[in-house]
Amino acid sequence: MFRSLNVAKSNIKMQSILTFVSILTNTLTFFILSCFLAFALLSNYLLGFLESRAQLTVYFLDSASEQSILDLRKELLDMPQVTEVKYTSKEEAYKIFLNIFESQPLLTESADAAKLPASLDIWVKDINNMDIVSDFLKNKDGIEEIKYFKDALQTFKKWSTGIKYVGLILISIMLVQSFLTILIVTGVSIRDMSEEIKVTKLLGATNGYVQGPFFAQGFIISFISSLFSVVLFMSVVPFAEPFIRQSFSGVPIPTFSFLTLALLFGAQFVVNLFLSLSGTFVAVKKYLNF
Amino acid sequence: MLAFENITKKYGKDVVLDSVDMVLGPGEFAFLTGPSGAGKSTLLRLILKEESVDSGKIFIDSEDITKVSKKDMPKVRRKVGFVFQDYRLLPSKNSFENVSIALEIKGKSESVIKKIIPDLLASVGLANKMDNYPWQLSGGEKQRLAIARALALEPKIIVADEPTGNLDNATSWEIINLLSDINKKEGTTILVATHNLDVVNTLKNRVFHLENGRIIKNV
Repeated sequence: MFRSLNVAKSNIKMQSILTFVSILTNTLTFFILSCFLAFALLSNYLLGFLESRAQLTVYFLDSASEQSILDLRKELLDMPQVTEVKYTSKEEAYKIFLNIFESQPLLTESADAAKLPASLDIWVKDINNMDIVSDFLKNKDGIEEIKYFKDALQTFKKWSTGIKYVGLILISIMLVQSFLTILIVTGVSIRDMSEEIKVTKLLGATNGYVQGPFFAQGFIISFISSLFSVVLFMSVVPFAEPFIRQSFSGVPIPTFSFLTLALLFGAQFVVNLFLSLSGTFVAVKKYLNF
Repeated sequence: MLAFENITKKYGKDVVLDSVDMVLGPGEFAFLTGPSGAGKSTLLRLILKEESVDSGKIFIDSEDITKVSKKDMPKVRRKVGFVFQDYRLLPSKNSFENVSIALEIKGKSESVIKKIIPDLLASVGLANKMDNYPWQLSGGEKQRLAIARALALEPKIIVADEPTGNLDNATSWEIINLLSDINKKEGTTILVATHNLDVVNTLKNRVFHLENGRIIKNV
């Protein structure tokens, strides 16, 4: 074990430039992987958050009675596409208005409950159900306006899915590149040590003795590059976070906890290690056949 | 014991070894002679399974090594100390490290290795060359170092392929005497392939003479 690590360290020193390239490639691969992972988590969170908001809001004319609105609420709740319907009376709307604009007396003084419409906030099971519910409401009396953000949500969903696919393709290419880099680094190490390997094999060295240092080299490269990529990612987060929070103000975006970081490092290290050891394994099988 | 039983080896249509039979008893010191291309080196390479036989058996003690799998071959190789004409020392390692590799392969701990190597190097007359690299050693010293490395495996058999091939007469005698001492003191079975008839004729040890792939003299 210690011998393997020592030989691996001297191999790394001997091929310092190639090892540097390998660490750099792996670091960038896993940094980009982290960024796309963060983007995927963030977009899923945002989508979930937006979908949890009232998806359709129906405003009623002053002529609509409270009973007719409550009847309509009951009808809506009976629809299989609808999950929840919340009624906001004129008085409740006025209270909300006062809360929102309490710092602007000019606005609050000129308003009263009679001027604000009663409304129903409607949640549907799927964004695609919005049209069905909207069409149903269009035929009803007493409705002043129906507001919903189907297009915005769908566009956001489309963009985030598109970016995820692009990310997936990019990451796949980079993972292959990292794999090939490890394969080349190990192959060069084997070539450099070919004479020593031949002699040790003739002296009775086992496969484990001969191959151990190359796997240790892969382990060291994957550990260092995983560490670097997490550090790089964490140094980017403080710059990106205010921009993201500003862009999505009002959305309570969670912060990165130590546990999240530890999990990120752990997951990266496992994938990176698998990649490095696979590269080493292929190199050993391909080049260490003397 | 080292025994070759009806060994045949061909390269394409060329028969390099033709039904070779040869037995070396425990503690024996024998020479394998013959002209270039007679098949001496091929025969020795078969012991390390650097090449495989076409037919026949090779016994080390009672084990037929032609049947040993590739995976188990390291164990067999550790039973045989091999000395090569071109030494096969590692140029980037000093004398101590060249010998320590054999001990590491044998699974010896670092403390044991540190204890054993000075004695091993002293036994081949290299006590004061422990830190020297191969390029700082003479031909005879390199071959002594190779013998020390072979001895580190504590082998029952030492096989030397032209160990004096690159050495002058006086140095050749030093190497042969060293191998002879090992044979007498340790009881190690030794087989030396050589062209050096001066050595062969003087020592009066057993000689296997190989010509055209066949043992034509066993005296």
